[in-house]
Amino acid sequence: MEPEAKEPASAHRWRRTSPVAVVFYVLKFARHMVTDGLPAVAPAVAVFATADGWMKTAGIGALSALALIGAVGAILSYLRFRFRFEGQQLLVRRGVIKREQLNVDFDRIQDVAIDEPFYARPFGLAMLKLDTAGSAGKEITLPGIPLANARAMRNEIISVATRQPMPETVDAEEPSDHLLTRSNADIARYGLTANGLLWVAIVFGAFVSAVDDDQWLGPAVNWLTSALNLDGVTSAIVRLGAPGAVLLVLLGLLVAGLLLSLFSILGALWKYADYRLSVDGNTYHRRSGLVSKQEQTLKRAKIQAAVWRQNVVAYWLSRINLQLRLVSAGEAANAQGMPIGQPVFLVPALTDDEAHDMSAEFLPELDTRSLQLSQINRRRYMSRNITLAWMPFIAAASFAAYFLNPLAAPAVFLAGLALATGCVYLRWKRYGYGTVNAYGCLREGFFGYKTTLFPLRKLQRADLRQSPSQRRAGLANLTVHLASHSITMPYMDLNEARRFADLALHQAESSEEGWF
Amino acid sequence: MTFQNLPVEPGSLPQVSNFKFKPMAPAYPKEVRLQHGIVWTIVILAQVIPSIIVAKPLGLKMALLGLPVLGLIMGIGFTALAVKSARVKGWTLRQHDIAYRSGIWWRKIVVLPFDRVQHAEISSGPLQRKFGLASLKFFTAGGASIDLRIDGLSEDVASDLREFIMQRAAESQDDHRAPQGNSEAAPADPDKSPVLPNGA
Repeated sequence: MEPEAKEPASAHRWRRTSPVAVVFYVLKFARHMVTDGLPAVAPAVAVFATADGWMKTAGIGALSALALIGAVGAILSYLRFRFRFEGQQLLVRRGVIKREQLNVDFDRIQDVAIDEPFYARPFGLAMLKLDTAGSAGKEITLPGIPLANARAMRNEIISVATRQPMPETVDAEEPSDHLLTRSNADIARYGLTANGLLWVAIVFGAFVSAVDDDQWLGPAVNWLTSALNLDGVTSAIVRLGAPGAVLLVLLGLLVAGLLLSLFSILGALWKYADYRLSVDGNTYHRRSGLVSKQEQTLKRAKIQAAVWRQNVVAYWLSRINLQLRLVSAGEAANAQGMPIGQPVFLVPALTDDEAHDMSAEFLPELDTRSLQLSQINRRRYMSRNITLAWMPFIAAASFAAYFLNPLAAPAVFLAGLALATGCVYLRWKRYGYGTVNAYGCLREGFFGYKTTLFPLRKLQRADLRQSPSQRRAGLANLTVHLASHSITMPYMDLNEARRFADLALHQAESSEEGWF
Repeated sequence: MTFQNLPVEPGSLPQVSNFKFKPMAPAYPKEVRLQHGIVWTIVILAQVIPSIIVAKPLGLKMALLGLPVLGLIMGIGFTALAVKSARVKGWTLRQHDIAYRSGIWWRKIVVLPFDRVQHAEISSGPLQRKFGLASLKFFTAGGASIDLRIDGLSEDVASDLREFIMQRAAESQDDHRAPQGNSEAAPADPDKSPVLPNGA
């Protein structure tokens, strides 16, 4: 990020991308305007759209000015963007207003992806996307280079980073050994399970802490709700009376649910249709996409953990989504206040057997079938958490007794206790830990589950925590920090927690192989 | 990619429970006491102001003096707690990792292998410098939540510790081919060590 710091001797070797890149910059500008600018200018747009006369003219003028800025900016971005390879470094100069030069060492690149956007495919062009280690938001995109070149560059970067020469065959159209395909029906199932999390979020909003990586759903839902004309609905409710209103609301929920599922499936298909996973030595390639094709590449050594995710919908469909987690963010990203990304390589909608087999593929010699998980202390975990979960019900019961009927209080108390106990029991039952070969396994969940499988040697840090009551009972919370994410196993037997930590630390410190 | 699958006897591993923790520098509890003392003195002085402003009803004027009294009690209590927690803290080195213990009631032990340290930073504020103390912060991969910060080391120990750990980190990373690029993980030149003016 030092502008013009290193003036190269042979600047004539700086290369430009194809002019098709202009489309990329225009789309980027448009997306930027819609996601960041739209909420701010939406009221103004609404005023312009309904007004007429000079206001309308001004609105159209402003819009066309904006379009002009976008177009000029895109052309300038294209002209300013130059790149060259120097030894084992990629040098990039870019920026219209703020110019910067980036020097990226190949061995710092942790993810290389090739996108073939629909507007570039007719020209045989692709985008090379580079993700540097531990710096979310510092992805570098080379837009508009020939697909064959993109693949060659990717292979070179990977061979440097792994210090292993790539076999020559990878330049061919079919790069490597076929490992797994997903039919579009499988991908549709994945779409449903991605939506399942949203369903759970709607019903049990307070209990769910994490929503999956389907951010594209949010804007779609917003658009949908604003597009529906709610006046008609209210007048219909008035005409139909109470029973009709209930029916209408149920119908509305059903339609909304179906629409959400549809969006979810379409979104999943857009990204993962014709999913094809292949392996080449230690390198995995995913190629998928409905209109635009994506190629994602992953080196086995970069995998920090494999996470099995199965939510309620996935459970009904007997499918498991396997996420391979990479380094999520380093201190460099944090120092710059960048949002922490979660680089994930997804293997969607696996059956039980496939999940076992694929896990053994990504994490060699991991025998998930023979994995036995131990459970955490039930009595202590439940007694503490039921107390916490019951609190709102005690408040609700007092409220009911005061405002409605004193007799309602015991009923609310008991219902609350039952519900709290049920929820805490489910949560307790999902917790599990175990080790097999040189791997650790930590499971948590509520209705579904999330199981993290990781090579013990990839541990970054181990924390043991004990509250006073846990000290008396001989229990401890163990937190395992990986470079991808951290997992806490609460209320473990102290000796078991120590044993787990000792084993992981021993592996981390004695292993001949690095973690990265 | 070959995995060792060593048959490790459960009892033969080096154990987290066998740590002998060294307390922080003797000056650290004193520094904590003075720091809290200064902060609470300012708070108590500020709490006297309402009583000074209200002139007329003598009863109210006296009642408002309850504020600084309350502040004094809280100040003494919290300062005592902070000093106690400073005394409880401890650290220790093993051959391959550093361990840090903290917490009076909620005990916490953190173990960080040298090999996982990306780089380290020493900082000391004006008060810390007066007591000859420094903070040592280790940066690791995987986000800010798992960076380890150790307060209350003497300046000498902090710089020795950083030197030692960065050297060990570089050695073990060379052993299995430097993961994050050598330039960042290399031990910093002691003359160029960033001693920040304020505990960053």
